[in-house]
Amino acid sequence: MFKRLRAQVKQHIYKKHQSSELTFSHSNIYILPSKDGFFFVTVALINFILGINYQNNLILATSYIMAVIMVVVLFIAFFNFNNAKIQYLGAEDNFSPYHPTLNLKLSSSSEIQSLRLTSEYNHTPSHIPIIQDEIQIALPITNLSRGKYETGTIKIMSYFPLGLIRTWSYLRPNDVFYIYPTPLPLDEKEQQPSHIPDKNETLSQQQDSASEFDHLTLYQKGMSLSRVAWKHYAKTEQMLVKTHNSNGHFSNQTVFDYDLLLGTKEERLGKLCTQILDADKQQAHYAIKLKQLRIPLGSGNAHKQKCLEALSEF
Amino acid sequence: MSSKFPVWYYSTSVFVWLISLILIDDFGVGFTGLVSVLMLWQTIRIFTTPTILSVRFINVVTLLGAVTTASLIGLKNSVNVFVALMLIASLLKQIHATKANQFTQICILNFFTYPCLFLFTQSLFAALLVLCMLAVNLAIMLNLEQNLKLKPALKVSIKGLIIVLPVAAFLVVFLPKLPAFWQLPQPQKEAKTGLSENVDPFDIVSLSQSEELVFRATFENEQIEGPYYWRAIIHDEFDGKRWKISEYQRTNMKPPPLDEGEHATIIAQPSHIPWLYGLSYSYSNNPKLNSNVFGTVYLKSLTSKPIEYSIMVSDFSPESTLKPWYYQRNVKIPKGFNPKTTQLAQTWAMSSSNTSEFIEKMRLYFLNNQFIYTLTPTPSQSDNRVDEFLFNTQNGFCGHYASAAAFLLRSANIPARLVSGYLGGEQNKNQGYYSVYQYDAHAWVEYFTPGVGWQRLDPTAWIAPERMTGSLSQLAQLSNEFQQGLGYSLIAFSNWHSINWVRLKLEELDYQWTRVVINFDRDKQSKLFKNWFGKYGTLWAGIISLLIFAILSVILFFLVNYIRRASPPIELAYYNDIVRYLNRDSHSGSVRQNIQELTQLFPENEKVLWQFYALFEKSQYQQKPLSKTELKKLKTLYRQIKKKG
Repeated sequence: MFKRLRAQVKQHIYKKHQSSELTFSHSNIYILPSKDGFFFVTVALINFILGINYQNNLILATSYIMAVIMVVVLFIAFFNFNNAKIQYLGAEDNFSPYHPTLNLKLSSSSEIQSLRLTSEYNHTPSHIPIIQDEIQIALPITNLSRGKYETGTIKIMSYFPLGLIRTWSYLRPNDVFYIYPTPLPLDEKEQQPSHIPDKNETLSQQQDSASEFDHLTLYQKGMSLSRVAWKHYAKTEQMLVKTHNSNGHFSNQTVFDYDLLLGTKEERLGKLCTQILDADKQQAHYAIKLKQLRIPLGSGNAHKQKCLEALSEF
Repeated sequence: MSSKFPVWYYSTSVFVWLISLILIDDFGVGFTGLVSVLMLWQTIRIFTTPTILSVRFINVVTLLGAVTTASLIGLKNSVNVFVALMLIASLLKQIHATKANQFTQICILNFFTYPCLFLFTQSLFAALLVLCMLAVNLAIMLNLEQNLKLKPALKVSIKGLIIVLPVAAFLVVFLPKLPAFWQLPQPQKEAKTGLSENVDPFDIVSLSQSEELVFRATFENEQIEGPYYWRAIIHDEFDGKRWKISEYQRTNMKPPPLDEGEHATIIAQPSHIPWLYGLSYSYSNNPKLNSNVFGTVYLKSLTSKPIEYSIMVSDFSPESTLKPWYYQRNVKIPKGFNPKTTQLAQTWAMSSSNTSEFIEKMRLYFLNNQFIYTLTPTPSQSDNRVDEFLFNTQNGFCGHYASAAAFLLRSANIPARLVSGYLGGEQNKNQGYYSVYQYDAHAWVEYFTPGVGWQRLDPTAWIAPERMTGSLSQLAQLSNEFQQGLGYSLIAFSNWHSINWVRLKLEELDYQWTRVVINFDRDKQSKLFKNWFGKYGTLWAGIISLLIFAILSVILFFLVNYIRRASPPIELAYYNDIVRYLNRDSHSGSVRQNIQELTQLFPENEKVLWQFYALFEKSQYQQKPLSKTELKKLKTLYRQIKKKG
């Protein structure tokens, strides 16, 4: 019952924030005492009772000082947000272990202090100590696996100025972002893609040696340790493998087929991902076949995007 | 830990230590020592690389601290123990705090811990100290949320408190005061100085001279003339050595219904004894006070804050005789003590026809034998102390003279009793009140004459008549002796004019503070409201104060808004001012265009204007703010331009 009511109230509130741009004003800023704020109020009450019981004007004055501080802090917190503008600039999709980001722009004619931004998918707030004029923020989204997601609710929050008051608002841009599968290297026998037969087709066995470094994929058991990007490992402790790509590997027109690849669903999608990236690198024309879903031949960024999104959604 | 939070966060533990130091008289040296040790530990931890304390270890230390505190202070003083435990808790919490939110909690808790000082002292100094502590506390909270440095954070918090303080003061005055919800135990004061209920002057080697304030008094109209003998305790029982407090001292007597006599208003400092101060025959209608048969007043229960009361003062009513049992009580001296004195009294009595003749003989005896008034008398341990004083040592202070005189009177079957209280007082010329300090403590005698009643007799006045007209502090003859007893305090330097002036000013301030702030209680408030708003004053005041509070809140709202906006960089302010000042028509162009225009209008200013522009441009388009010297130069340029324009 209570839960349902809460959800309803939340839905009602969210309606107001359904936009990719919002100027904060009294109608969309929410202010309540924080946990510490309630503690502060309790201490003020205890001081009040003590002041009354001992008829002690100075203790009474302290409790009034605390009450007035609470009121002033409320105003300061409000003006910190008031008239600031937040804009959703779009999401930056990314490959699976990496974080996609939601890009935001905050602007205000006066300074904004100590903002914390969270999204529905990432509850560790990004803290921005001070905003003068304008700032762009990339809100990382962590711990999500491959897929298509709605941007959901972005929460803008602040405990400014004393940590006693929680001021917050929401932004609900109506958008989606994708997390692409992790590109995985293909097995030897899968190297030969199914393609529309072409005369240019050549086999390349010396892939490792005479090839160009292309991109990084996640290290998996059995891979050659010599291909691990150790520099990257030292920085991030993430084992990535340099994937190499030999020229002329692809014909100009290739179909990448999900069913022709080996492994689990995620592995196959990962391999497809590698294939798409490789093909795009060479500006080849390619199509993909994901069971029933087919994306016809094409090339270029938009085509790559479409294919990768299809992989994410699959 | 030491690297994560700025060192000045730990100032809160210094404050806790300071409070324990101020309250050393209430909590004892042991507790202050404990706090000092904990603070030392804290300091060492800050300046070395400390180990992280386990929760169990901290719990054990906390428990130990609590037990030690309770045993050092004694559970009987519940308020003292409670406050001491709060102080220890605040300190220990600080020692093991490692996270930001723990510091926030400490800061919030300190809003309770610091004002606890007011339970013990409400002086202006304590109020200012707590205010400063709270300012630092707020600065820490600001730093935790905004990463401001110490100086700007302090600036903001002090500014904030300056805005908040008048509003809080307004609330204290106008929000109708509620009666106490329930009775709480009072913090207990250690007896340090003051009058003793049982007097044995011969036991004292050197009269301790405390400059502690006892009370202040104002007279409604200046009809009561000095010298002022402030009566506090009546001693009517002599056991051969000590004069004991009368057992009727604590017997409440309904004061006479008549409202005759002079009024005096007294603000007495808190004391460990209930006996308050009055002149001649005094009584009070104050509900917190009782009056007794001797014409002195006393507190129904001890408080820890100054008490303000009015007394009606009248002369002793003439009495023809004393009741036999009461007469017996007032002439009784234990047998076998001071035979020589008894003998002397009896010879005087034989040759005197009335009491005043007897007293005259006594006076002449003191004067002819060159008795000396001194604060450092020759001590006596003998059983016949009065004998020794009258015939051998012949020096002493008021207690000696009063005690000897009372003994002589009683030996001659004249009813007499010892009175201790205060004599004189230092008058504040500006405000017209008298301040009485501990060093004004005095003892004298009251004797009974049939048909006349009780009369005062001050044998000390024969020896040191100057003592009667002023405060002891103003007595030139004893000034050396007096000041040696005082140690280091402002009054010890009262010979120096400027220091004395400062002392008197501080004293005046403290008087106003006590009268206006501390003793502004429900009665005073409702009187004030009645004066202003008539019969339903309190109700009106409540409504009006809520309204005004709402209006004040609105003002605060706009004030906060204004403060947030009204801080454009100084460079920009200079520039706008120059443009506005010199060239009213142009606002539209770029900065460069505007300056160019100005150089055409004021060619003599050209060089300065371009210099100004160079600095201005630097401040606007460079990420770094201007340095101090650059800002200074900008200012001088700005002034030059305006002057020439």
